[in-house]
Amino acid sequence: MSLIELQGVTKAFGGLRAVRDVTLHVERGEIFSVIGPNGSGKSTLFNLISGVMPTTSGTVRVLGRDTKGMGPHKVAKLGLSRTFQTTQVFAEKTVLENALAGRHLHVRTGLWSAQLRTRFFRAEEARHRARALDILDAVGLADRAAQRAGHVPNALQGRVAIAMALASEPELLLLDEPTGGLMEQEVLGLMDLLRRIRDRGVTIMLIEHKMRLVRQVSDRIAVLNNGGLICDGIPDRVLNDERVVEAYLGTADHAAA
Amino acid sequence: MRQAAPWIIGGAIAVAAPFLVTNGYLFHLLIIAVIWSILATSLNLVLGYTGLLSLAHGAFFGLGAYCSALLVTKAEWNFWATIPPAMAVAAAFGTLLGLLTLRLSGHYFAISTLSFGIVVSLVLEKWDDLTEGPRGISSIPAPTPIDLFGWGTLDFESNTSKYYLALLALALCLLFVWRLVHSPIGRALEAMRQNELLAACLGVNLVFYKLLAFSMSAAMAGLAGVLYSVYITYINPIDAGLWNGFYAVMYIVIGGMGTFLGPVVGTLFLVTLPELLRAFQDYRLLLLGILLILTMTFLPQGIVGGARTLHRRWTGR
Amino acid sequence: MSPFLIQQVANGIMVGSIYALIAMGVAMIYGVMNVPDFALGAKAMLGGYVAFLFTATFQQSYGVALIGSIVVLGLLGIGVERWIFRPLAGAPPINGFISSFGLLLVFENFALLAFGSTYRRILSPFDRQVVHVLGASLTMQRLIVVVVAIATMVGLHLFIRFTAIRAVAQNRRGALLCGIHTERIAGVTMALGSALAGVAGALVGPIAMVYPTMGETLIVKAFVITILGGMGSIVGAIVGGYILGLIEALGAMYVSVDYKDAFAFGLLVLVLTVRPQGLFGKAAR
Repeated sequence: MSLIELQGVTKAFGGLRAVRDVTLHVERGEIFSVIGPNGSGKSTLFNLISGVMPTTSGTVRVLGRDTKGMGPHKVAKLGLSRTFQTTQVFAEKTVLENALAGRHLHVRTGLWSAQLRTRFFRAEEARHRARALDILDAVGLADRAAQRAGHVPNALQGRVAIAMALASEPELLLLDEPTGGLMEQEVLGLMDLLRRIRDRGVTIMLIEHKMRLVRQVSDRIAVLNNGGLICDGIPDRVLNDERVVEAYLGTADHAAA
Repeated sequence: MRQAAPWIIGGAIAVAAPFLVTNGYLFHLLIIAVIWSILATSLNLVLGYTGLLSLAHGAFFGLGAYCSALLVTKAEWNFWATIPPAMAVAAAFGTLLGLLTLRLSGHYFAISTLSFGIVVSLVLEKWDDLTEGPRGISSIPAPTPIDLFGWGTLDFESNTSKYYLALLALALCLLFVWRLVHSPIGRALEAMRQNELLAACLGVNLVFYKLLAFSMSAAMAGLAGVLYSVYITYINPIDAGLWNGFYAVMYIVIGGMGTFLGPVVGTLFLVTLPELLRAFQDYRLLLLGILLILTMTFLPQGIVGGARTLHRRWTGR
Repeated sequence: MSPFLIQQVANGIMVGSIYALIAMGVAMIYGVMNVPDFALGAKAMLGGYVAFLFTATFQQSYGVALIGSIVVLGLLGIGVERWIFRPLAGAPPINGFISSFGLLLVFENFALLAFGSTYRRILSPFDRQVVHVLGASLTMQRLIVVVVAIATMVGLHLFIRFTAIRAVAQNRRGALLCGIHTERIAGVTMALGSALAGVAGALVGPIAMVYPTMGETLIVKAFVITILGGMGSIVGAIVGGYILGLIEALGAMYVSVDYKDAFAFGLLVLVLTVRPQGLFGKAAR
């Protein structure tokens, strides 16, 4: 079973079709990158997969389930987590509290056990805390656990978002331009993190601009242009495909890759 | 981090209050302030922690008051037995309001809650047969004495006993809020307030939690209404009207939105202050309005919020 | 067509005009400044008192009183924008909402202290003249209310057409970048909105009398109307105002006088369940 299956997915905003008849699939255990020029519909695609927006037509299947009519929280419940292009974190809360927020789907205690502070409740809270700290450790933020997320350096804020997304122990992680604003050195660190996440059993779907990262880290790549899928497959084939080269002609990133 | 000392001192003062406050009118204001603190705390659940400006809480307060008063006066129920149904009725209306305003946000939401509140108080006023209409319900008896099986009876005729009853209720409500906020449900509500989209993508069912917050908050407001009805021993449709809800908003805002003690501090401050400035009695609401504007302009986090920021800056965190 | 029905319809149109004027003020101010001005009903009340002062104390004609209320409230609006709302420009909108509520308290209690709680009568020559329309007799004052209201709406439409207000309403930053003085526009908008409220108060004064809390039901209904019509939509405010006026008048006649005030809210709940953005609002709520 493919973890994500898109069949003829289209999203239209009035007369503008942001995503046109896209068909692709993401397999378990791979790192799947979506690339394309600005405005090619990549983020919209993520919104459709994660349930933030409904499709205009076509089917989206996440972890075997048709997500038609499902809002983001239901899709998240299936086992999908995501980050956003403009990093979204709870700035007023500490990094640890952000990670804890991500534990929501694994909460087993209710209103009354919280009120009565039962032994079960206290044990569960300790468990959540431990898991959250584990994840912060895994993304390299353990020493910043008590720092307010808004005060964390910009380069690391993306990691806070990733930690939050990982805290729900998803099977599928969607990352929207995680290298946004990162310097060369930091990009290497992120590549390493992505591999480690994949090794832990999480399938990753990635929107990226930096070709170096895409080439080195991806198992498969899909290329969007003007909302349509122009090519998909293994990196070597896709990145040398003449349609892809044409779509990217003149882009500095590609020239550097 | 949470020092026990201030809480113990504060608690001691609260318990000793009837003996420290000798002025009868001031004591009366104190009891009112404690009851309204419960209302303010309930509203803070939706306004401060979930980020929804509800202007309907006066209606929940009134529903609780009327429910209890009617059961006691017309159906001759034991007062204590009226508390659960009164809170349940308020909670039911709170859930109803939540359902009606599900898809709304911001100003649309606020005005809809306002409308809801108006309709409720209008019906309470016009439904003569049930609620005695504009005449209201009077001669509400004090809470039914409790038989202490050999240790005598605990009666609630005196103001002091009513004060302790209200204080106990406030303490329980504050405990409830504290434990709620420091739990996964509280985290979900706060996530909703700060960033709905992010919260949803983390798996928070926005609809469910909104309804939950509303029903809990309304139940608590209803409790405040019940206590009010037995203390003042007379209620009328105005008590179920919008103004109590508006005042609660103001007390929260000035005390500190979204802080734990903000609602209590704000209420205590604003209810007792006019009495201490007796000369300005007539100008009370005028000054309140000015104070609101000044707070919004210069100290939007309110008294407690401002104190907290100062404390943080001082300790360098 | 019974003369009684005509009377009610005429009443509905008159009341609708008042609602429309205030709702327009709310819509304008919300559209440009993104703040719901809860004090606008109180401004109408102040307009009524200004008119009262002009006719009773200064012994001026009703026409002068109308102009006076427009001018005084316009100036007040400029002051309010400058000192109350401008400092709040960056804060979340709820702060402005609460400040406007504080203003409401200030205005109402100022009026209470200055004028007392007795209902004041504004003397208007039109009150005594009677007009016969389709068999029903109406006071001229009611006709004047409708005429002045419509004249104001037309005037406002032309004013907005030919000025930069619309640009600021649609995109404040963009307007700033184009060199439009957004702050000045905010001041003008507030002045206009307040003036609209002021004239509404002066118009309804001779009919319903003037008292400190008269603005309360007015502002609540104005808000309901702007939500029905879509916040920020002036056309919506006007249409909504008249619809509400008529529903109340006819509802009082056919359904129940007691629950007259509840119609607005019932309507609101109905519309919002089906169409959360209101009749004329944009989909982004």
